[in-house]
Amino acid sequence: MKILTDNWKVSGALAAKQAVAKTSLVAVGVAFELAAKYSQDVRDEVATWRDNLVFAMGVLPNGPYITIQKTGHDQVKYLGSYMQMPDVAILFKNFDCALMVFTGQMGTHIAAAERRFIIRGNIGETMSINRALGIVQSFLFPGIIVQKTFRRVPEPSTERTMAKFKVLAALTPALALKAFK
Amino acid sequence: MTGEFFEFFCPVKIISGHKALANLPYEMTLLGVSKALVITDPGVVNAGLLKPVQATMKGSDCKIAAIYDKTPPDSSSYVCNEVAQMFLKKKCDCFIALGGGSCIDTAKGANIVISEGTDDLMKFQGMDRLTAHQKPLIVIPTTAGTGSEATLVAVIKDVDRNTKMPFVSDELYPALAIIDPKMTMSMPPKITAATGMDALTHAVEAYYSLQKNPISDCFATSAIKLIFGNLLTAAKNGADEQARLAMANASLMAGIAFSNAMVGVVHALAHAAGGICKVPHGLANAILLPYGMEYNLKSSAAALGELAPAMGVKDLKGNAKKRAEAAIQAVFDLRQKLHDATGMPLTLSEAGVTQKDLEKIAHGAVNDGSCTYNPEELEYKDAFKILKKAY
Repeated sequence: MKILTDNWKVSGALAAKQAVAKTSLVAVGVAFELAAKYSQDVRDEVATWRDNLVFAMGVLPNGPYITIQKTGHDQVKYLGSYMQMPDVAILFKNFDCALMVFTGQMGTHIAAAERRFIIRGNIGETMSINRALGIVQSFLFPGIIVQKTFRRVPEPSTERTMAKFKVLAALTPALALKAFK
Repeated sequence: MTGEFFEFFCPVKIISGHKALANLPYEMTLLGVSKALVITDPGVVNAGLLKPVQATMKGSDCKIAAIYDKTPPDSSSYVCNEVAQMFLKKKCDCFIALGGGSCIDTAKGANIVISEGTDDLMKFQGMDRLTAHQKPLIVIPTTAGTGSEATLVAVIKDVDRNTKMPFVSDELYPALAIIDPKMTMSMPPKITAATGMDALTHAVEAYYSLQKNPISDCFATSAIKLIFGNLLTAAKNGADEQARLAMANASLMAGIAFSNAMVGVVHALAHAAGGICKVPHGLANAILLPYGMEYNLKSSAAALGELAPAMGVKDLKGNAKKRAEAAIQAVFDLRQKLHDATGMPLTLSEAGVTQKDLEKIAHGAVNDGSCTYNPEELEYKDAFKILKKAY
Protein backbone atom coordinates (compact mmCIF):
# COMPACT_ATOMS: atom_id res chain seq x y z
CA MET A 1 0.00 0.00 0.00
CA LYS A 2 2.85 2.34 0.93
CA ILE A 3 4.57 1.63 -2.37
CA LEU A 4 1.45 2.52 -4.31
CA THR A 5 1.15 5.80 -2.39
CA ASP A 6 4.79 6.65 -3.12
CA ASN A 7 4.31 5.84 -6.78
CA TRP A 8 1.27 8.06 -6.90
CA LYS A 9 3.26 10.90 -5.34
CA VAL A 10 6.11 10.48 -7.82
CA SER A 11 3.90 10.35 -10.86
CA GLY A 12 1.86 13.29 -9.53
CA ALA A 13 4.98 15.40 -9.11
CA LEU A 14 6.21 14.36 -12.52
CA ALA A 15 2.90 15.21 -14.13
CA ALA A 16 2.96 18.64 -12.48
CA LYS A 17 6.51 19.29 -13.70
CA GLN A 18 5.54 18.12 -17.17
CA ALA A 19 2.55 20.45 -17.21
CA VAL A 20 4.63 23.47 -16.07
CA ALA A 21 7.36 22.65 -18.60
CA LYS A 22 4.88 22.29 -21.45
CA THR A 23 3.03 25.50 -20.56
CA SER A 24 6.31 27.42 -20.24
CA LEU A 25 7.62 26.09 -23.54
CA VAL A 26 4.44 26.97 -25.41
CA ALA A 27 4.46 30.45 -23.84
CA VAL A 28 8.07 30.94 -24.98
CA GLY A 29 7.21 29.69 -28.48
CA VAL A 30 4.21 31.97 -28.89
CA ALA A 31 6.01 34.93 -27.27
CA PHE A 32 8.96 34.40 -29.62
CA GLU A 33 6.70 34.79 -32.64
CA LEU A 34 5.23 37.99 -31.15
CA ALA A 35 8.63 39.35 -30.12
CA ALA A 36 9.89 39.02 -33.68
CA LYS A 37 6.96 41.21 -34.74
CA TYR A 38 7.45 43.94 -32.14
CA SER A 39 11.10 43.94 -31.07
CA GLN A 40 13.89 45.30 -33.25
CA ASP A 41 16.46 43.47 -31.07
CA VAL A 42 14.85 40.09 -31.84
CA ARG A 43 14.46 40.96 -35.53
CA ASP A 44 18.17 41.89 -35.72
CA GLU A 45 19.11 38.46 -34.38
CA VAL A 46 16.64 36.52 -36.55
CA ALA A 47 17.87 38.37 -39.67
CA THR A 48 21.29 36.75 -39.23
CA TRP A 49 19.89 33.19 -39.29
CA ARG A 50 19.95 31.13 -42.45
CA ASP A 51 16.68 30.96 -44.39
CA ASN A 52 13.97 28.65 -43.02
CA LEU A 53 16.09 27.62 -40.03
CA VAL A 54 14.10 25.34 -37.74
CA PHE A 55 14.93 25.10 -34.07
CA ALA A 56 13.44 23.13 -31.24
CA MET A 57 13.54 23.27 -27.46
CA GLY A 58 12.46 20.58 -25.10
CA VAL A 59 13.12 18.17 -22.30
CA LEU A 60 14.82 14.79 -22.61
CA PRO A 61 14.01 11.96 -23.00
CA ASN A 62 10.44 12.28 -24.27
CA GLY A 63 9.44 15.92 -24.32
CA PRO A 64 7.56 18.18 -24.17
CA TYR A 65 9.07 20.05 -27.10
CA ILE A 66 8.34 23.13 -29.19
CA THR A 67 9.47 23.92 -32.72
CA ILE A 68 9.98 27.37 -34.24
CA GLN A 69 10.93 28.31 -37.80
CA LYS A 70 12.43 31.40 -39.37
CA THR A 71 10.12 32.84 -42.02
CA GLY A 72 10.91 35.71 -44.36
CA HIS A 73 13.80 38.06 -43.57
CA ASP A 74 13.45 38.51 -39.82
CA GLN A 75 10.27 36.80 -38.62
CA VAL A 76 9.64 33.47 -36.89
CA LYS A 77 6.67 31.17 -36.70
CA TYR A 78 5.74 28.96 -33.77
CA LEU A 79 5.06 25.62 -35.46
CA GLY A 80 3.72 23.70 -32.49
CA SER A 81 4.50 21.54 -29.48
CA TYR A 82 6.50 18.80 -31.15
CA MET A 83 10.01 18.22 -32.45
CA GLN A 84 10.70 17.04 -35.97
CA MET A 85 14.08 17.25 -37.70
CA PRO A 86 15.20 20.65 -36.42
CA ASP A 87 18.45 22.23 -37.61
CA VAL A 88 19.24 23.18 -34.02
CA ALA A 89 17.83 21.73 -30.80
CA ILE A 90 18.34 22.80 -27.19
CA LEU A 91 17.34 19.85 -25.01
CA PHE A 92 17.30 19.92 -21.20
CA LYS A 93 18.55 16.75 -19.55
CA ASN A 94 15.53 16.48 -17.21
CA PHE A 95 12.49 18.39 -15.95
CA ASP A 96 14.29 19.87 -12.94
CA CYS A 97 16.93 21.44 -15.18
CA ALA A 98 14.29 22.82 -17.52
CA LEU A 99 12.08 24.22 -14.77
CA MET A 100 14.92 26.12 -13.15
CA VAL A 101 15.35 28.04 -16.41
CA PHE A 102 11.65 28.32 -17.31
CA THR A 103 10.71 29.66 -13.87
CA GLY A 104 13.49 32.23 -13.78
CA GLN A 105 15.57 30.57 -11.07
CA MET A 106 18.54 30.19 -13.41
CA GLY A 107 19.83 32.06 -16.47
CA THR A 108 20.52 30.12 -19.65
CA HIS A 109 24.24 30.95 -19.39
CA ILE A 110 24.42 29.29 -15.97
CA ALA A 111 22.40 26.32 -17.29
CA ALA A 112 24.97 25.99 -20.08
CA ALA A 113 27.88 26.31 -17.65
CA GLU A 114 26.39 23.57 -15.51
CA ARG A 115 25.76 21.42 -18.61
CA ARG A 116 22.04 21.26 -17.84
CA PHE A 117 21.19 20.90 -21.54
CA ILE A 118 22.63 19.44 -24.72
CA ILE A 119 22.82 21.09 -28.12
CA ARG A 120 22.21 19.34 -31.41
CA GLY A 121 23.44 21.40 -34.35
CA ASN A 122 25.63 24.39 -35.07
CA ILE A 123 26.81 26.04 -31.85
CA GLY A 124 27.27 29.45 -33.55
CA GLU A 125 23.61 29.43 -34.62
CA THR A 126 22.65 28.34 -31.13
CA MET A 127 24.41 31.41 -29.68
CA SER A 128 22.24 33.75 -31.73
CA ILE A 129 19.07 31.78 -30.95
CA ASN A 130 20.00 31.91 -27.28
CA ARG A 131 20.44 35.70 -27.38
CA ALA A 132 17.03 36.08 -29.01
CA LEU A 133 15.51 33.74 -26.43
CA GLY A 134 17.06 35.87 -23.70
CA ILE A 135 15.27 38.94 -25.07
CA VAL A 136 11.99 36.99 -25.17
CA GLN A 137 12.51 35.86 -21.57
CA SER A 138 13.24 39.44 -20.52
CA PHE A 139 9.74 40.32 -21.82
CA LEU A 140 8.10 37.46 -19.93
CA PHE A 141 9.86 37.72 -16.56
CA PRO A 142 9.46 40.55 -14.04
CA GLY A 143 12.39 42.96 -13.80
CA ILE A 144 13.64 41.51 -10.50
CA ILE A 145 14.10 38.07 -12.09
CA VAL A 146 15.77 39.58 -15.15
CA GLN A 147 18.20 41.41 -12.84
CA LYS A 148 19.00 38.13 -11.09
CA THR A 149 19.34 35.77 -14.03
CA PHE A 150 20.92 37.87 -16.79
CA ARG A 151 24.63 38.63 -17.04
CA ARG A 152 23.80 42.03 -18.48
CA VAL A 153 20.30 43.46 -18.34
CA PRO A 154 19.34 45.08 -21.67
CA GLU A 155 19.60 48.89 -21.38
CA PRO A 156 16.12 50.38 -20.97
CA SER A 157 14.71 52.32 -23.92
CA THR A 158 11.29 53.46 -25.08
CA GLU A 159 11.44 51.02 -28.01
CA ARG A 160 12.18 48.08 -25.70
CA THR A 161 9.48 49.06 -23.20
CA MET A 162 6.92 49.40 -26.00
CA ALA A 163 7.95 46.03 -27.47
CA LYS A 164 7.55 44.36 -24.08
CA PHE A 165 4.15 45.96 -23.57
CA LYS A 166 2.94 44.86 -27.02
CA VAL A 167 4.20 41.28 -26.58
CA LEU A 168 2.54 40.94 -23.17
CA ALA A 169 -0.72 42.48 -24.41
CA ALA A 170 -0.90 40.10 -27.37
CA LEU A 171 0.32 37.01 -25.52
CA THR A 172 -2.90 35.81 -23.85
CA PRO A 173 -5.09 35.88 -26.99
CA ALA A 174 -2.25 34.34 -29.02
CA LEU A 175 -1.82 31.57 -26.46
CA ALA A 176 -5.54 30.85 -26.58
CA LEU A 177 -5.27 30.45 -30.35
CA LYS A 178 -2.02 28.50 -30.54
CA ALA A 179 -1.74 26.54 -27.31
CA PHE A 180 -3.10 23.36 -28.87
CA LYS A 181 -1.03 23.45 -32.04
CA MET B 1 34.67 28.72 -5.20
CA THR B 2 32.62 25.99 -3.59
CA GLY B 3 31.25 24.60 -6.83
CA GLU B 4 27.50 24.68 -6.18
CA PHE B 5 26.98 22.30 -9.07
CA PHE B 6 29.53 20.87 -11.43
CA GLU B 7 30.50 17.90 -13.55
CA PHE B 8 34.08 16.72 -13.85
CA PHE B 9 35.30 13.96 -16.15
CA CYS B 10 38.70 12.90 -17.42
CA PRO B 11 38.97 9.25 -18.45
CA VAL B 12 42.35 9.72 -20.20
CA LYS B 13 45.21 7.49 -19.08
CA ILE B 14 48.32 9.64 -18.93
CA ILE B 15 51.89 8.43 -19.26
CA SER B 16 54.33 11.28 -18.90
CA GLY B 17 58.09 11.53 -18.72
CA HIS B 18 61.44 10.35 -20.02
CA LYS B 19 61.06 7.47 -22.57
CA ALA B 20 57.27 7.44 -22.09
CA LEU B 21 56.89 6.66 -25.80
CA ALA B 22 58.50 3.23 -25.27
CA ASN B 23 55.31 2.11 -23.48
CA LEU B 24 53.20 2.49 -26.62
CA PRO B 25 52.96 -1.18 -27.77
CA TYR B 26 52.33 -2.40 -24.23
CA GLU B 27 49.54 0.12 -23.78
CA MET B 28 48.04 -0.86 -27.14
CA THR B 29 47.89 -4.44 -25.91
CA LEU B 30 46.08 -3.29 -22.75
CA LEU B 31 43.57 -1.46 -24.94
CA GLY B 32 43.05 -4.66 -26.96
CA VAL B 33 44.24 -3.14 -30.23
CA SER B 34 47.14 -3.94 -32.55
CA LYS B 35 46.67 -2.16 -35.93
CA ALA B 36 47.07 1.58 -35.72
CA LEU B 37 46.36 4.36 -38.16
CA VAL B 38 48.85 7.16 -37.46
CA ILE B 39 47.60 10.68 -38.21
CA THR B 40 50.35 13.24 -38.51
CA ASP B 41 51.48 16.19 -40.64
CA PRO B 42 54.41 16.98 -42.96
CA GLY B 43 56.16 19.12 -40.33
CA VAL B 44 56.18 16.30 -37.81
CA VAL B 45 57.49 13.84 -40.41
CA ASN B 46 60.22 16.27 -41.54
CA ALA B 47 61.26 16.79 -37.92
CA GLY B 48 61.89 13.04 -37.75
CA LEU B 49 59.25 12.43 -35.08
CA LEU B 50 57.49 9.59 -36.89
CA LYS B 51 60.56 7.36 -36.79
CA PRO B 52 60.69 6.88 -33.00
CA VAL B 53 57.01 5.91 -33.05
CA GLN B 54 57.67 3.32 -35.78
CA ALA B 55 60.70 2.10 -33.86
CA THR B 56 58.66 1.35 -30.72
CA MET B 57 56.57 -1.18 -32.65
CA LYS B 58 59.54 -3.37 -33.57
CA GLY B 59 59.52 -6.72 -31.80
CA SER B 60 55.91 -6.29 -30.62
CA ASP B 61 52.61 -7.72 -31.84
CA CYS B 62 51.40 -4.24 -32.66
CA LYS B 63 51.95 -2.48 -35.94
CA ILE B 64 51.27 0.73 -37.82
CA ALA B 65 48.87 -0.39 -40.52
CA ALA B 66 48.61 3.01 -42.24
CA ILE B 67 49.96 6.54 -42.02
CA TYR B 68 48.07 9.71 -42.93
CA ASP B 69 50.76 12.39 -43.07
CA LYS B 70 48.97 15.20 -44.92
CA THR B 71 46.99 16.80 -42.09
CA PRO B 72 46.66 20.53 -42.86
CA PRO B 73 46.85 23.25 -40.16
CA ASP B 74 43.05 23.75 -40.29
CA SER B 75 41.66 20.26 -40.62
CA SER B 76 38.30 19.95 -42.35
CA SER B 77 35.38 17.56 -42.58
CA TYR B 78 36.78 16.40 -45.95
CA VAL B 79 40.10 15.45 -44.35
CA CYS B 80 38.27 13.59 -41.58
CA ASN B 81 36.24 11.64 -44.13
CA GLU B 82 39.41 10.77 -46.08
CA VAL B 83 41.13 9.55 -42.91
CA ALA B 84 38.07 7.52 -41.92
CA GLN B 85 38.07 5.79 -45.33
CA MET B 86 41.75 4.93 -44.90
CA PHE B 87 41.03 3.51 -41.43
CA LEU B 88 38.32 1.23 -42.80
CA LYS B 89 40.26 0.19 -45.92
CA LYS B 90 43.33 -0.80 -43.92
CA LYS B 91 41.20 -2.54 -41.28
CA CYS B 92 42.74 -0.53 -38.43
CA ASP B 93 41.49 -0.83 -34.89
CA CYS B 94 42.84 2.33 -33.26
CA PHE B 95 44.07 5.84 -34.00
CA ILE B 96 47.44 7.31 -33.04
CA ALA B 97 47.45 11.11 -33.34
CA LEU B 98 51.05 12.32 -33.60
CA GLY B 99 51.29 16.09 -33.73
CA GLY B 100 49.56 19.25 -32.53
CA GLY B 101 45.93 20.23 -32.24
CA SER B 102 45.06 19.74 -35.90
CA CYS B 103 46.29 16.12 -36.01
CA ILE B 104 44.51 15.30 -32.75
CA ASP B 105 41.25 16.91 -33.80
CA THR B 106 41.41 15.20 -37.21
CA ALA B 107 41.68 11.86 -35.41
CA LYS B 108 38.70 12.79 -33.23
CA GLY B 109 36.69 13.84 -36.31
CA ALA B 110 37.53 10.67 -38.26
CA ASN B 111 36.63 8.65 -35.18
CA ILE B 112 33.16 10.23 -35.13
CA VAL B 113 32.68 9.35 -38.82
CA ILE B 114 33.55 5.70 -38.16
CA SER B 115 31.91 5.22 -34.79
CA GLU B 116 28.65 6.96 -35.69
CA GLY B 117 28.62 5.26 -39.11
CA THR B 118 28.04 8.54 -40.96
CA ASP B 119 29.27 10.05 -44.20
CA ASP B 120 28.59 13.59 -42.99
CA LEU B 121 30.54 14.65 -39.94
CA MET B 122 28.66 17.97 -39.72
CA LYS B 123 25.48 16.12 -38.71
CA PHE B 124 27.14 15.54 -35.35
CA GLN B 125 27.90 19.14 -34.43
CA GLY B 126 26.81 20.22 -31.01
CA MET B 127 27.27 19.52 -27.34
CA ASP B 128 26.86 16.08 -25.79
CA ARG B 129 25.17 14.61 -28.82
CA LEU B 130 27.45 11.67 -29.66
CA THR B 131 26.10 8.35 -28.50
CA ALA B 132 28.41 5.73 -30.05
CA HIS B 133 31.56 4.65 -28.21
CA GLN B 134 34.61 5.73 -30.14
CA LYS B 135 37.58 3.63 -31.29
CA PRO B 136 40.59 3.90 -28.97
CA LEU B 137 42.52 7.10 -29.64
CA ILE B 138 46.15 7.38 -28.52
CA VAL B 139 47.65 10.86 -28.57
CA ILE B 140 51.35 11.72 -28.71
CA PRO B 141 51.58 15.54 -28.65
CA THR B 142 54.51 17.20 -30.42
CA THR B 143 53.54 20.69 -29.25
CA ALA B 144 52.85 21.92 -25.74
CA GLY B 145 49.77 24.07 -25.90
CA THR B 146 46.63 22.59 -27.41
CA GLY B 147 45.81 20.27 -24.51
CA SER B 148 43.59 18.34 -26.93
CA GLU B 149 45.21 15.12 -25.69
CA ALA B 150 43.02 15.47 -22.60
CA THR B 151 39.89 17.26 -23.80
CA LEU B 152 36.38 16.49 -24.95
CA VAL B 153 36.55 19.01 -27.81
CA ALA B 154 37.42 18.75 -31.49
CA VAL B 155 37.46 21.81 -33.75
CA ILE B 156 36.99 20.99 -37.43
CA LYS B 157 36.63 23.40 -40.34
CA ASP B 158 33.36 23.37 -42.26
CA VAL B 159 34.77 24.11 -45.73
CA ASP B 160 31.39 24.90 -47.26
CA ARG B 161 30.68 27.64 -44.71
CA ASN B 162 34.32 28.62 -44.07
CA THR B 163 33.88 28.41 -40.29
CA LYS B 164 35.38 26.30 -37.54
CA MET B 165 32.90 23.91 -36.00
CA PRO B 166 33.26 22.70 -32.41
CA PHE B 167 32.26 19.16 -31.47
CA VAL B 168 31.88 18.67 -27.71
CA SER B 169 31.26 15.27 -26.16
CA ASP B 170 32.56 13.08 -23.36
CA GLU B 171 33.00 10.42 -26.05
CA LEU B 172 35.82 12.49 -27.58
CA TYR B 173 38.32 12.01 -24.77
CA PRO B 174 41.34 10.04 -25.97
CA ALA B 175 42.00 6.70 -24.30
CA LEU B 176 45.68 7.43 -23.75
CA ALA B 177 48.02 10.44 -23.80
CA ILE B 178 51.75 9.80 -24.03
CA ILE B 179 53.73 12.87 -22.96
CA ASP B 180 57.34 12.37 -23.95
CA PRO B 181 59.49 15.53 -23.74
CA LYS B 182 61.67 14.31 -26.63
CA MET B 183 58.68 14.66 -28.94
CA THR B 184 58.36 18.42 -28.30
CA MET B 185 62.05 19.34 -28.44
CA SER B 186 62.12 20.13 -32.15
CA MET B 187 59.57 22.95 -31.79
CA PRO B 188 61.07 26.29 -32.94
CA PRO B 189 61.28 29.08 -30.30
CA LYS B 190 58.46 31.22 -31.71
CA ILE B 191 56.05 28.28 -31.85
CA THR B 192 57.15 27.16 -28.39
CA ALA B 193 56.27 30.64 -27.12
CA ALA B 194 52.89 30.86 -28.84
CA THR B 195 51.76 27.33 -27.96
CA GLY B 196 52.88 27.85 -24.37
CA MET B 197 50.77 31.00 -24.22
CA ASP B 198 47.90 28.94 -25.64
CA ALA B 199 48.21 26.60 -22.64
CA LEU B 200 48.36 29.61 -20.30
CA THR B 201 45.18 30.98 -21.88
CA HIS B 202 43.40 27.64 -21.36
CA ALA B 203 44.35 27.66 -17.70
CA VAL B 204 43.53 31.31 -17.01
CA GLU B 205 40.20 31.19 -18.84
CA ALA B 206 39.27 27.93 -17.10
CA TYR B 207 39.97 29.66 -13.80
CA TYR B 208 37.60 32.59 -14.39
CA SER B 209 35.01 30.68 -16.44
CA LEU B 210 31.42 30.39 -15.26
CA GLN B 211 31.91 26.60 -15.36
CA LYS B 212 34.96 26.67 -13.07
CA ASN B 213 34.90 24.16 -10.26
CA PRO B 214 37.22 23.18 -7.40
CA ILE B 215 38.81 20.32 -9.36
CA SER B 216 39.41 22.26 -12.57
CA ASP B 217 40.87 25.07 -10.43
CA CYS B 218 43.56 22.69 -9.12
CA PHE B 219 44.62 21.75 -12.64
CA ALA B 220 44.52 25.37 -13.83
CA THR B 221 46.68 26.79 -11.03
CA SER B 222 49.22 23.96 -11.30
CA ALA B 223 49.47 24.53 -15.03
CA ILE B 224 49.95 28.29 -14.59
CA LYS B 225 52.72 27.76 -12.05
CA LEU B 226 54.55 25.40 -14.43
CA ILE B 227 54.14 27.76 -17.39
CA PHE B 228 55.48 30.80 -15.54
CA GLY B 229 58.39 28.69 -14.28
CA ASN B 230 59.35 27.06 -17.57
CA LEU B 231 57.97 28.66 -20.73
CA LEU B 232 60.69 31.25 -21.15
CA THR B 233 63.40 28.62 -20.58
CA ALA B 234 61.81 26.24 -23.11
CA ALA B 235 61.53 29.04 -25.66
CA LYS B 236 65.14 30.17 -25.16
CA ASN B 237 66.68 26.73 -24.89
CA GLY B 238 64.65 24.07 -26.68
CA ALA B 239 67.09 21.36 -25.67
CA ASP B 240 66.23 21.76 -21.97
CA GLU B 241 64.38 18.50 -21.45
CA GLN B 242 63.12 19.42 -17.97
CA ALA B 243 61.57 22.66 -19.21
CA ARG B 244 60.04 20.82 -22.19
CA LEU B 245 58.54 18.16 -19.93
CA ALA B 246 57.19 20.80 -17.56
CA MET B 247 55.54 22.63 -20.47
CA ALA B 248 54.09 19.41 -21.91
CA ASN B 249 52.62 18.56 -18.50
CA ALA B 250 51.33 22.12 -18.09
CA SER B 251 49.61 21.92 -21.47
CA LEU B 252 47.98 18.63 -20.49
CA MET B 253 46.80 19.98 -17.14
CA ALA B 254 45.47 23.17 -18.71
CA GLY B 255 43.63 20.91 -21.19
CA ILE B 256 42.02 18.95 -18.35
CA ALA B 257 41.08 22.23 -16.65
CA PHE B 258 39.39 23.80 -19.66
CA SER B 259 37.77 20.56 -20.73
CA ASN B 260 35.83 20.70 -17.46
CA ALA B 261 35.46 24.47 -17.08
CA MET B 262 35.50 25.70 -20.67
CA VAL B 263 37.02 28.98 -21.85
CA GLY B 264 35.81 32.53 -22.50
CA VAL B 265 36.20 35.78 -24.33
CA VAL B 266 39.85 35.31 -25.36
CA HIS B 267 39.02 32.07 -27.15
CA ALA B 268 35.91 33.55 -28.74
CA LEU B 269 38.04 36.31 -30.27
CA ALA B 270 40.92 33.97 -31.14
CA HIS B 271 38.61 31.49 -32.92
CA ALA B 272 37.17 34.33 -35.00
CA ALA B 273 40.64 35.78 -35.73
CA GLY B 274 41.79 32.31 -36.82
CA GLY B 275 38.75 31.73 -39.03
CA ILE B 276 38.83 35.16 -40.69
CA CYS B 277 42.52 36.13 -40.79
CA LYS B 278 44.22 32.76 -40.29
CA VAL B 279 46.04 33.96 -37.18
CA PRO B 280 47.44 30.77 -35.57
CA HIS B 281 45.32 29.89 -32.55
CA GLY B 282 48.13 29.95 -29.99
CA LEU B 283 49.40 33.29 -31.23
CA ALA B 284 45.91 34.84 -31.20
CA ASN B 285 45.48 33.71 -27.60
CA ALA B 286 48.93 35.05 -26.69
CA ILE B 287 48.03 38.47 -28.08
CA LEU B 288 44.53 38.67 -26.62
CA LEU B 289 44.91 37.06 -23.19
CA PRO B 290 45.78 40.11 -21.05
CA TYR B 291 43.05 42.18 -22.72
CA GLY B 292 40.51 39.43 -22.05
CA MET B 293 41.61 39.37 -18.41
CA GLU B 294 41.14 43.15 -18.22
CA TYR B 295 37.68 42.80 -19.73
CA ASN B 296 36.68 40.36 -16.99
CA LEU B 297 38.36 42.30 -14.19
CA LYS B 298 35.11 43.77 -12.86
CA SER B 299 33.33 40.45 -12.32
CA SER B 300 36.36 38.21 -11.74
CA ALA B 301 38.80 40.28 -9.69
CA ALA B 302 38.81 37.68 -6.92
CA ALA B 303 39.56 34.78 -9.28
CA LEU B 304 42.23 36.69 -11.18
CA GLY B 305 43.78 37.88 -7.94
CA GLU B 306 44.05 34.29 -6.73
CA LEU B 307 46.23 33.55 -9.76
CA ALA B 308 48.86 36.16 -8.86
CA PRO B 309 50.97 33.84 -6.64
CA ALA B 310 51.04 31.12 -9.33
CA MET B 311 52.28 33.79 -11.74
CA GLY B 312 55.17 34.64 -9.48
CA VAL B 313 53.79 37.94 -8.19
CA LYS B 314 55.75 38.64 -5.01
CA ASP B 315 53.95 41.67 -3.63
CA LEU B 316 50.51 40.37 -2.69
CA LYS B 317 49.37 43.37 -0.70
CA GLY B 318 46.17 45.23 -1.48
CA ASN B 319 42.66 44.13 -2.30
CA ALA B 320 41.52 41.54 -4.85
CA LYS B 321 41.47 44.12 -7.64
CA LYS B 322 45.07 45.14 -6.98
CA ARG B 323 46.18 41.49 -7.01
CA ALA B 324 44.20 40.87 -10.19
CA GLU B 325 45.88 43.86 -11.83
CA ALA B 326 49.25 42.46 -10.76
CA ALA B 327 48.32 39.11 -12.39
CA ILE B 328 47.39 40.87 -15.63
CA GLN B 329 50.68 42.78 -15.54
CA ALA B 330 52.53 39.48 -15.02
CA VAL B 331 50.97 38.17 -18.26
CA PHE B 332 51.94 41.36 -20.11
CA ASP B 333 55.52 40.97 -18.78
CA LEU B 334 55.75 37.29 -19.81
CA ARG B 335 54.57 38.15 -23.32
CA GLN B 336 57.15 40.91 -23.56
CA LYS B 337 59.96 38.56 -22.48
CA LEU B 338 58.82 35.95 -25.02
CA HIS B 339 58.72 38.64 -27.70
CA ASP B 340 62.27 39.72 -26.83
CA ALA B 341 63.50 36.11 -26.85
CA THR B 342 61.69 34.75 -29.89
CA GLY B 343 60.14 37.61 -31.86
CA MET B 344 56.59 36.42 -31.05
CA PRO B 345 54.19 39.18 -32.21
CA LEU B 346 52.44 41.16 -29.49
CA THR B 347 49.68 42.86 -31.48
CA LEU B 348 47.05 41.78 -33.98
CA SER B 349 48.54 44.10 -36.61
CA GLU B 350 51.92 42.39 -36.23
CA ALA B 351 50.08 39.07 -36.72
CA GLY B 352 48.73 40.23 -40.09
CA VAL B 353 45.27 41.44 -39.08
CA THR B 354 44.11 44.62 -40.83
CA GLN B 355 41.98 47.36 -39.30
CA LYS B 356 39.03 46.45 -41.52
CA ASP B 357 39.14 42.82 -40.32
CA LEU B 358 38.33 43.89 -36.76
CA GLU B 359 34.59 44.32 -37.40
CA LYS B 360 34.31 40.87 -38.97
CA ILE B 361 36.25 39.30 -36.11
CA ALA B 362 34.01 41.02 -33.55
CA HIS B 363 30.88 39.75 -35.32
CA GLY B 364 32.30 36.23 -35.43
CA ALA B 365 33.33 36.30 -31.77
CA VAL B 366 29.87 37.01 -30.35
CA ASN B 367 28.58 33.85 -32.04
CA ASP B 368 31.35 31.69 -30.64
CA GLY B 369 30.27 29.13 -28.06
CA SER B 370 33.05 30.20 -25.68
CA CYS B 371 31.15 33.42 -24.89
CA THR B 372 28.61 31.33 -23.01
CA TYR B 373 31.11 30.59 -20.26
CA ASN B 374 32.64 34.05 -19.98
CA PRO B 375 31.78 35.83 -16.73
CA GLU B 376 30.99 39.09 -18.54
CA GLU B 377 28.43 39.30 -21.34
CA LEU B 378 30.07 39.92 -24.72
CA GLU B 379 28.30 42.09 -27.26
CA TYR B 380 29.65 43.27 -30.60
CA LYS B 381 30.72 46.67 -29.27
CA ASP B 382 32.63 45.02 -26.38
CA ALA B 383 34.41 42.60 -28.71
CA PHE B 384 35.38 45.43 -31.04
CA LYS B 385 36.78 47.47 -28.14
CA ILE B 386 39.00 44.58 -26.98
CA LEU B 387 40.24 44.03 -30.53
CA LYS B 388 41.09 47.73 -30.91
CA LYS B 389 43.19 47.56 -27.74
CA ALA B 390 45.02 44.47 -28.99
CA TYR B 391 45.48 45.86 -32.48
